[in-house]
Amino acid sequence: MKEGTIRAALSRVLWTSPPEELREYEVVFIDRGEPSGLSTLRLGGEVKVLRDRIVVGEKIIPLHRVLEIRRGGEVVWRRGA
Amino acid sequence: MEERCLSKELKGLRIPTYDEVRAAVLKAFQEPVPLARGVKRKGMVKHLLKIDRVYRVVDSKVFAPAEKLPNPDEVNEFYAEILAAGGVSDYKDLIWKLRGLRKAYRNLWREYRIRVKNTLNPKESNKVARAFVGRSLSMMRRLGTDLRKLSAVISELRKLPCIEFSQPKAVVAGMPQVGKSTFVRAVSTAEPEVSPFPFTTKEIILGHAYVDHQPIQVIDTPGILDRPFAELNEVERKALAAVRFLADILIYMVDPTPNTYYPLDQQLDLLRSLRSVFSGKEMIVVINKADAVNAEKVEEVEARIREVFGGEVFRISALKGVGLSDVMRRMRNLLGRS
Repeated sequence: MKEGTIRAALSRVLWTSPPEELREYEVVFIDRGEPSGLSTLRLGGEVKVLRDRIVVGEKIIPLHRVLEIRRGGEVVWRRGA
Repeated sequence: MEERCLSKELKGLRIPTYDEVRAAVLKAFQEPVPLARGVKRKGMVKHLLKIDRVYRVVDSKVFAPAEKLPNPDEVNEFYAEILAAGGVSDYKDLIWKLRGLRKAYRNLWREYRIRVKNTLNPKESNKVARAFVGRSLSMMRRLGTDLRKLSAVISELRKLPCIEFSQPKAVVAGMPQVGKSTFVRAVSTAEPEVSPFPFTTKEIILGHAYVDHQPIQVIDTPGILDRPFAELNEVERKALAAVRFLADILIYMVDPTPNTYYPLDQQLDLLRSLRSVFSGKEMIVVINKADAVNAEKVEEVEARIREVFGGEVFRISALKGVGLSDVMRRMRNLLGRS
């Protein structure tokens, strides 16, 4: 995938993939609540990309904490790539 | 009386890295020395002035800033804990090492001045002066990691607000996303960032408030999770340091809404552990977001809190500004008594 902003990458994933394909995607983000400091979240259900955050169901993730987008374990976007 | 404010004192203070010191020293040594025509023994005098220059560069760039840092014996426990959380546990050793080395370096410089003066020709003076530069640089190279640590110390200390330790302080604590920053924003002059996701606050933030013309410092902390001390990360250790060393009153905030990031059980567990660790402190429990749930739910939550905590429980809405003045007045009363 071409380099670009996280929002563009997420929007592209969201708009181009049908719901069942969307479920293959995961985002890795910084989470101080985890001992490792990172957690992953599978996309799916109702996903919205807002200006500074994504909303996946009940969870809100600020875009500045997202580090990677993965598809089936394979990295498709990485911060600073 | 105004108390010392570390973050203001440290403004503009900077410790260079080894490479920067090296570049500055070499530049000072290479630049030509202007000498009057009538000076005798020019070769010797030139090198003498050059090593003076090198000494001044090193002393002013490295040792003088270190001297400005607070004395390890006078440092408040709170600052010490913040430094330890930031990864500098040997602050005391670091400072004494640098102060000792300042003297040693001064002696070295004096020794080499005499040696340069005793040389017989310019070639020999050059050799001795270069030896001094070499020794200065290797001293700095060995100090490399210490210099980096010192930079870290300064940047940690500079981030902290100007706390007046003798004035009353109230610390707001609780799990992430319960509304601590919203509360501090509502009652005091501070304007911490508020956002709809957990772990937004990463630093200790101080605001001033006046209750019946009496000042009170309200301190916002990052959210604390209930886990053993060894597993805490830097941000949580900072929050706990604030609770431990700053709080004259601890305000524990509870979120009663059903879809919180952290369920009520966890919030109560944290309250229980804080209660047992800081049993000597005045404590108030505040149920925030009381307008977001119905009355029965608030009653239920309050009953649950009562099982853990015997003191006062307030119901507020920090966002809408409901019940804040009661909490503030109660804080004032508690502080007036102690």
